[in-house]
Amino acid sequence: MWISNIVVSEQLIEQAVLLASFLDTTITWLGEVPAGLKLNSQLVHFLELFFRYHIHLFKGYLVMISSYMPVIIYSISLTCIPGLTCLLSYLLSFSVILLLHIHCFYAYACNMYSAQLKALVSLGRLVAGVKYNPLRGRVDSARTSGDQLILGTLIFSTLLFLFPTTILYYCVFSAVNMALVGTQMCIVTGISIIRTCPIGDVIKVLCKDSSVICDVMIEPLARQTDNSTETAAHASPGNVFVVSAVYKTLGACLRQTDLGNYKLSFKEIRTKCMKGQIIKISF
Amino acid sequence: GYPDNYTDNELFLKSLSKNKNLQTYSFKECAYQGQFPLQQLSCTIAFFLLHFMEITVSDSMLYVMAFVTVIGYLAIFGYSLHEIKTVVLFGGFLFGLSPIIQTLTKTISDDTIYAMASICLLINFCLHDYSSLSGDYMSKCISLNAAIFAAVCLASRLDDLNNVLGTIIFAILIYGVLPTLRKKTADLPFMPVCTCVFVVSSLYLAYLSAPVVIYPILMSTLACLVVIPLSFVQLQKQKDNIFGPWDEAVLKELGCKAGADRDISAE
Repeated sequence: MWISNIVVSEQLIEQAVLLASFLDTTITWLGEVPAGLKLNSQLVHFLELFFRYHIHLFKGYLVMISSYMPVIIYSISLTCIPGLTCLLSYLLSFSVILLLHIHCFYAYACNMYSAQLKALVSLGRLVAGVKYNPLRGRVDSARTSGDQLILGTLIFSTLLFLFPTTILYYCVFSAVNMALVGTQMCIVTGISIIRTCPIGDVIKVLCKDSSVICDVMIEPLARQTDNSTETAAHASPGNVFVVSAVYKTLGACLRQTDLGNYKLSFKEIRTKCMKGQIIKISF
Repeated sequence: GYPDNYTDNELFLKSLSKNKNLQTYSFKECAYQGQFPLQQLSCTIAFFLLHFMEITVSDSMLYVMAFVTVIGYLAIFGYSLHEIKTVVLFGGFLFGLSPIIQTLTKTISDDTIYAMASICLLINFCLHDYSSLSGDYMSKCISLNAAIFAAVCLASRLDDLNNVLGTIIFAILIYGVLPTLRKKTADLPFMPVCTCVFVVSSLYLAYLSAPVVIYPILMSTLACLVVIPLSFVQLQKQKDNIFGPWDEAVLKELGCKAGADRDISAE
């Protein structure tokens, strides 16, 4: 038992190290001319040093947890006992722990982008000679003194020319994070499907278990009485209906799966991306 | 009887009056006011010429320029502690920002930078506040900001750090400090002398670096001082403002006193 644990843990750590080297190559690629875009070399060098140090920390972190990995794998295998959903939830949390640094990189790039965006919008208003009036919630003309204007314009032009670099870093790390969030969403959807669909009963029916007496067919009847649809369950004999019953049941349950707190609509994702707010699944 | 479209020739539009309270400007006034855009234009041309001449600014020159700017700023806005603090903060910020500004636009092509700078300085020239009144002028923010943005664009092209700082300080001097000074001393009699100094120095700079620029400078001098005021004076004769009893009433309070006898009449 321990041998399989050690083998699995070694594989996992190897994959994580591969991931770290992938991040390293990404950052090196961003340092040279990426996709033909010419970025500000000073800022790129600075960010490269910063992220490289973080990858160095990541590799040290991996070395540290590689000694605990067999125990973790054993505990994952223990979670099979309460059921598949427990295993999947554990895997979800485990993915967060193992791939924490992807989220870290994304958070750094996100904060940089949102801060620069806010500063640019605010200073852009200064350059145009207006300011935001929080009392009325609108933009009014402003009487700013000359030195404020000059300083504001200097900082505005600096941030404006550094913005493409920030945007590129944000896009790259956001894409990597989206992959992570996508897999997490798949697992969450799987968990909620398993919880809502009566898979155990369906398997019992298919295997013609003795605990299930008759075939159950659930179909939603569109009977509009007082703006509510009623579903009627009625028993009907015969093999033909078993397949359709299973199909209809599963279809109805899938339609009713509710992700609850973990719901992420595309509109929400779009606004969060534009403003630079962190997208993650909160447990 | 009378037809339906009858108009009595004597009474119709009797109370129409033309060009009431008309203020005509003489040629001398126009030419005098025309020298301010000329000063701004010659400053801009000198700024561009100095940029392309690529003078190496030594440390002492930089100190002198900064000193002059500081003295000018304090002289205009007062010597209080707040102003001195502003100047110190400013100087520190500029000193810190100049290495960043040096490498800002390295990856952007020459033409883009020069086009952007030209457009920004054109905006500055067009929207600048040339009047000598002290009221609020809505676009003076944009003109100053456009000029500083153009200065940053041009400064980021230079190689030497001193040059970068010198360009920005020079831009602040001629677009920030000088216009305020000009506004305050607009009525002084030696203003035409100042204009002459500006134009002659820009001509000399053009002679040193790009002699082809002398013709535009001379042409713009002629336009600002002679051609445009002349045409303005000629076109004044075409003014045709119509006044009459259909105009909006203008309320005029005459000595409002508390109590019984208040005398407010509408004219």
